[in-house]
Amino acid sequence: MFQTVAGILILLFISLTGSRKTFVRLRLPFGAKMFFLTGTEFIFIGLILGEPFIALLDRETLQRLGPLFSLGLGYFGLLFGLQFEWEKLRRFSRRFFGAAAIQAGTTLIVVALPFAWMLASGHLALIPGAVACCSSPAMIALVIQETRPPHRADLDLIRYIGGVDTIIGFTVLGLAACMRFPGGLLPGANSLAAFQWMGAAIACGITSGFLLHLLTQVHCKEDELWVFTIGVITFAGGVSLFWGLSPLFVAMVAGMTASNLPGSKDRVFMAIARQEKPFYILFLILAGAVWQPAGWLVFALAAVYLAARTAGKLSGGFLAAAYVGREIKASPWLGAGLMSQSGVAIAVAMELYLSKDPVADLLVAMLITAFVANELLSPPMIYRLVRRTGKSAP
Amino acid sequence: MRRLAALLIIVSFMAILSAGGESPGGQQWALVSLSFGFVLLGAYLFGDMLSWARFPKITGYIIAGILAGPFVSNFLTAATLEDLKLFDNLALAFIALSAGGELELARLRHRWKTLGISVLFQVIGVFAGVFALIFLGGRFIPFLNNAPMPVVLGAAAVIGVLAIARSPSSAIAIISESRAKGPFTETTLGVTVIIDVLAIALFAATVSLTQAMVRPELTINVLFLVTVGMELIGSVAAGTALGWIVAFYIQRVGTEIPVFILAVAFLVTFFSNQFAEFLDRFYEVRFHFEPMLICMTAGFYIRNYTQIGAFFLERLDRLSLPVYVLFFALIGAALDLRMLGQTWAVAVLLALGRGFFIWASAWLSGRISKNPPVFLQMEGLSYIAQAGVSLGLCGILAKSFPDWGPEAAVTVVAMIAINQFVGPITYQYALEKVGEARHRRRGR
Repeated sequence: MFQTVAGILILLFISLTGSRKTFVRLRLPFGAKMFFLTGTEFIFIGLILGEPFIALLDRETLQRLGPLFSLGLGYFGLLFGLQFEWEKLRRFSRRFFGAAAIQAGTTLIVVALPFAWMLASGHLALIPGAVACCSSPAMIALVIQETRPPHRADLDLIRYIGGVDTIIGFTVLGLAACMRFPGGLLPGANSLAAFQWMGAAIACGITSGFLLHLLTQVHCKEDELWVFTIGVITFAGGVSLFWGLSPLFVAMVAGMTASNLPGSKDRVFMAIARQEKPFYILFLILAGAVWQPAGWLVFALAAVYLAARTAGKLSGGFLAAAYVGREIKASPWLGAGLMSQSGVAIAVAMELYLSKDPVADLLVAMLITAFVANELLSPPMIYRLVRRTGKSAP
Repeated sequence: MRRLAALLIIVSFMAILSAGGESPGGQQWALVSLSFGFVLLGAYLFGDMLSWARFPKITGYIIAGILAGPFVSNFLTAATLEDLKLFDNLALAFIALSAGGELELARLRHRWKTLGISVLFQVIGVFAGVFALIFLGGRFIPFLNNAPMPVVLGAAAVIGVLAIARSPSSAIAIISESRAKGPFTETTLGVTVIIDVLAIALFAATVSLTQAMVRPELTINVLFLVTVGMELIGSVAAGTALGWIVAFYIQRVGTEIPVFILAVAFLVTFFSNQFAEFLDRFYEVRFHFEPMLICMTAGFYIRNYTQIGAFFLERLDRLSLPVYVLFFALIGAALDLRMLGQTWAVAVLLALGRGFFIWASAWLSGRISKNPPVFLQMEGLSYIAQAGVSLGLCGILAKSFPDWGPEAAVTVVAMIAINQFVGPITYQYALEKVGEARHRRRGR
């Protein structure tokens, strides 16, 4: 018990003070600056607090923090979903969406195939595939901000893909969670069981989103907004976990639903976006604490994942660039700009950690190892691409 | 209409999930998360709707909790309530911070005399009244029927002290909800807080004396009295230190203050309980810091001895709504209706008697202090609510007197349930009547 409390205390202290001291423009070399801007250092702090080192956040303590995981997952899903307002997405060419789908689909296939062979499991292989799809729009924006290139259409494309490919990643993740069920949702109807559960997940997400919309569409006070938002996040997260669905996917659908209905979605988004940093840092620390990078298998799998993801992103980017080639002249090395993984990868790892899959621990360790390596390697790649395409003025 | 629709959606979801039985996802804490969201949304919406009928919202939260609890719909099972206790404690500590912060010395200084007289009359009047009620009606009370005289006297004394205890949490929630401000609000809150602290000390002394009286082989347990004294002093000292730490954090770090405050509230409760368990297990010493008193002192220190008092209160207020919703809904859900059903007659009589003695004492003290007539009539209605501390003391009562304590505790808990239900309504009524309630404009 003492450990739990001390663990929470340390987690909160680092999250709160860390959110003030990091993610700021530090005077450092580019690579180091990007490292700190993504908050990757918190994973190492978590690792030190975790079982392999001082064991303050051991497995038992982490189990007790379960509801916090649930709240965090729902929070990130909703935050992400709220950004997908159809009216705004429509401003871009339809080819952009096609390019995003091609790029994400290619990455998914290239990554999931070797894992399907190694893990001998379709739904487990989809998980690294789903994570691989996701790129970090924040990192792309950071590099663009850092290098200040003149406006170029292909940078818009990279940003667009970086935002949209997460929808595909989360959807695949939602499907992977639904594939765990041996039977269908309806008694006696077991054909396409996963899709029945997927339908339930979508229905659950839409209902939660509609609920948020109902509660916030007419002006409500700031404190009421908080009650409704936290309430819907935890309720949707609880329903998803109760049924064994993906809380990230359900919350994302809820966010997408709410953002596409008229109402005070901007206020909801602003209210929860203000809390993003502490939540993100908290998740990074937790990810570090559950990270057990010991064993060659973890590193081998991480290397396979990174190689497959790089291949997937580059080939996907190449195909996407060819697809949009009639409208804009995009770099065939487009995929290099999408190499950075967003915190979504961490959220997925956390969701996986909570599942009862027998190889969850191994996959979590692999995903976090890959995340760390990727965050160290990807900023220079994006930087080069942006310089090449945008003739930036650093 | 929209909020009613939202409430129906949430309730339908819960009904479907409850009917489905076990979680197919197999997540042990899925239910906790689900219940947390359900309580927050469901109770708030219910309370909001009930406020249209001029009921305080917290009464609505309590009713929603009762309806969702294990004795009505069982949406919130007993096991889930146990898991949610963590959040319950957190909310209580948070509310105590607010209660302490509301006590501004600069304003109370002019009313020390009024406060002192009110506290004195309330303590003596309510204790004497309830004592007499139990003593005289002892043979009609099941657990005192045929009991020897020392037991009747002891029970009357202990229940009399329990009747003194108040509910600062309800008071602060009603004040926050109705945006009340003014001399009446400050006096009633001040009296409520002071009496609640006094009740702890008086209860300890009474239990010790009663034990010596009903079991002549025991002498007055001086060590017990000293321990309680140390607990109170220790809690005040810990609260002062905590106040300094919170103020330091706000001034020097100043980021994510609401999260920090919640963390502090959580840690105070947790460490208090863990420290008590630790001393009991390893040194067989029963010593328990009172989390509520620690937080009240911390709030009081920040408000009166630092530069950030107003800022701190404003931040607390921003965070208060979800905390109140959760806290009062969980109180409602935890109310043992079966127990109330068994002892309702005695409990109602006790509640009525207590209410009368509170009102009479307040009226008398108000006359002496030369309060305005409307204050005289309304002050007594402000002190009905009971929760938190009194419930905790009932647990000690049950343990301290194994022969009749558990049954007495059941009756007192039933009385507290009635008071907790009625108290917020009467306090809001009083605040409106004296003209200090300024309800927020409704957004809809």
